[in-house]
Amino acid sequence: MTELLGFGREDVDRISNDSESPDWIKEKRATAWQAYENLPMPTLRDEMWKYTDLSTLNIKNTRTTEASKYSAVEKFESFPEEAVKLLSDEAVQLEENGGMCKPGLLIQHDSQVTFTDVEKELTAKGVIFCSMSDAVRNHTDLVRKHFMEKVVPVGEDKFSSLNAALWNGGIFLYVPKGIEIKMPFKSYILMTDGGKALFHHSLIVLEEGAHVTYIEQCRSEDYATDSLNSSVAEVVVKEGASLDYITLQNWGNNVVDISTRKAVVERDASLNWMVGTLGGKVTRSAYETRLIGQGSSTKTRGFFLASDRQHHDFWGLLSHEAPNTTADLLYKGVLTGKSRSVFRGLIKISEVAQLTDSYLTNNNILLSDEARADSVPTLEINANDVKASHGATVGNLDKEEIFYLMSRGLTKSSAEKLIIYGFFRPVLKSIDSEILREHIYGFIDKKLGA
Amino acid sequence: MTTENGLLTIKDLKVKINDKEILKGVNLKIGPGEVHAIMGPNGTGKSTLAYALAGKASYEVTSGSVTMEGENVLDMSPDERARKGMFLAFQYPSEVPGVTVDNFLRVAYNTVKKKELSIWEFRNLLKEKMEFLKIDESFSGRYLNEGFSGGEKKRNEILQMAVLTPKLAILDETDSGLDIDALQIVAKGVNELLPEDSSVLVITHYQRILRYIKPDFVHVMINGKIVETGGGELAEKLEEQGYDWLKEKYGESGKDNNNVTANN
Ligand SMILES: Nc1ncnc2c1ncn2[C@@H]1O[C@H](COP(=O)(O)OP(=O)(O)OP(=O)(O)O)[C@@H](O)[C@H]1O
Ligand SMILES: [Mg+2]
Repeated sequence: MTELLGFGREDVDRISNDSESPDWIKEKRATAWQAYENLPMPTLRDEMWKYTDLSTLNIKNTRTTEASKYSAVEKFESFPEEAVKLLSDEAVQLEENGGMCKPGLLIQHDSQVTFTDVEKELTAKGVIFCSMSDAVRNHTDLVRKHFMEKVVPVGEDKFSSLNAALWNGGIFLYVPKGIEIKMPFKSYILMTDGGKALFHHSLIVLEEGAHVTYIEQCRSEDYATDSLNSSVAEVVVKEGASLDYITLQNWGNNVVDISTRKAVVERDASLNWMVGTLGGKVTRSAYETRLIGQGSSTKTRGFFLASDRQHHDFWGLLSHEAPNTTADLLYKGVLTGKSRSVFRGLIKISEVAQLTDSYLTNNNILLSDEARADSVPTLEINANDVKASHGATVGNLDKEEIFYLMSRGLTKSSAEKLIIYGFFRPVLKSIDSEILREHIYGFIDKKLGA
Repeated sequence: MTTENGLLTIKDLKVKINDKEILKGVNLKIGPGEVHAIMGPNGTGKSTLAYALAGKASYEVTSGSVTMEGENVLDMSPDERARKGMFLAFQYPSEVPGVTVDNFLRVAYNTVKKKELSIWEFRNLLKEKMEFLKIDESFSGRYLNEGFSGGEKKRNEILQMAVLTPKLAILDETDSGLDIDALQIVAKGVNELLPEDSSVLVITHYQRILRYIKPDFVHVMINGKIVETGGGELAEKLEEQGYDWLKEKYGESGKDNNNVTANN
């Protein structure tokens, strides 16, 4: 079998040097690389990869970006043209805010941080929002406690190990005790060429009682050759804290995205995931939430719109490891063309997690005969006093509904669109930012052929 | 301004559903501003006629013609018919999750009226109609028919009619399931919120609603055909005597009525 990926030990060394990694990071990279080499490449025989055939991917020649490719810019306008193009909506917002990026904005271009701006007052209070490379050098103590330790330990699986060895992008967000910020921290991950391999490793730590929102968006145009993006995020939400984590994947049609985001949620803390997948060629996203503290909770709202030959593979784990925890995951997809989706979800309730409520739901609408959606929700319950349920549906648009709307004058396509928006609404309404919602609607419109 | 054909002309309309003939030659002419009522036993094809007029896809028209202001309706898609001024208040309206009443109706209004009212402009228009129909404000933000009670769904159909002001409103048992007060409000809506020259086709089992929406013509449909046509007094007679005398006169199957045409 030919190799799926073409990376070697020399890439690890080069990235270590380029990013001026401290020794402890170099060691982690080396250990991770070893783990990557030792672990077998997943195949369709692996339960976790049963629906996504990696052997058909064409990403062997993808390469990481050289360190000196882009220099950091002070001003948004000074970005290379192709990057500015991808950020037009953000530029509008910036202008409205008089050039201020409150509370924080971070832009990564081909996995290099080229723009960072954080509200000064917040920095003074101890809030940190910076690139991961900066964080491992400048905030070692804060980072080291969590980085690749308990949340996503080195060597856990093939792709997170590769990420741990080769990461050069990613963000660090640290919010000290009791700080509440309404406006979202934002980061953009841009790719402006084909044949790339981007590795982001991020860490978000919320101290006790902190409340923030973080929005991460991936964007690129369509290019001729395929690229790989790997994002790994580790999230720690401490006692009584709450985090809204929004990811919007909006890659061009040549990007293979294999990403994992994992979180531990402590006592009375909460974590809300919002997951939007619009672009990409093959997308594999894993979201795992461990509710380790009593009274902790998590909510996931996800949606995707797949077209052409897009392939979406979603894995969600709701792990209840303490009493009185609640989880609620709702994931909705619409498929057109020859697209393909897989939803796998697991509610896992340990012996100690009594009085737990957990819900897992996946609904799919197929707009074409050639599209296909699989759904595999599962339960693993080891406590007796709990409420847990899962449900999955795959169906077509309701003809009666379409006729009803058309009988009021709506064209077939606008009736269908309205029903699809209605289908997504329970998910999209959880996005507070109107600009973001508009961006998503615009994209859906475009994809459905407005 | 209408042609000599009147507003709507149905000639010898035959409709099949799943290969079964349900409408067996319906003739009906509706002039502008007229109110017609169709009554008849369960399962005789009243809703089928309504759906066929609205253009439901699975209904196969095997013969006959339907014209509206001289134009061939049967060639039009359901949305074209709506834009032409046809409106059907459904006997069983669909629930459309996630689609709010106000947003949906604004899209419908802008499409039918070829306007581009903003959310705010439309909200005023909607509010006025809702007040008239005594529909609580909160309904405009609710998902279309989802969780609506039977009566609320019916009232919501009339709200849609009031917003779209069609030339022809077909009300398929809009009165069923309405309490006495609601019935009066709905009737008032039909009488006052439609333009003077709009026509109404009321499908009903009860004479009750016809006391408020006064019909110029009452038709009786039996087994896929209109077998008897009269004025308001026919509805009263049906209320008192039921359909047996008609079934006797025209046979259970309505097959002996070949010489009867519903003229008006
Ligand atoms: N989709 C369908 N498939 C098969 N038969 C159908 C279908 N829809 C309607 N029918 C049949 O057509 C006949 C006429 O139905 P329709 O709903 O038009 O009656 P109706 O006069 O409106 O009755 P009601 O007074 O009960 O509302 C009935 O026998 C019904 O069972
Ligand atoms: Mg009926």
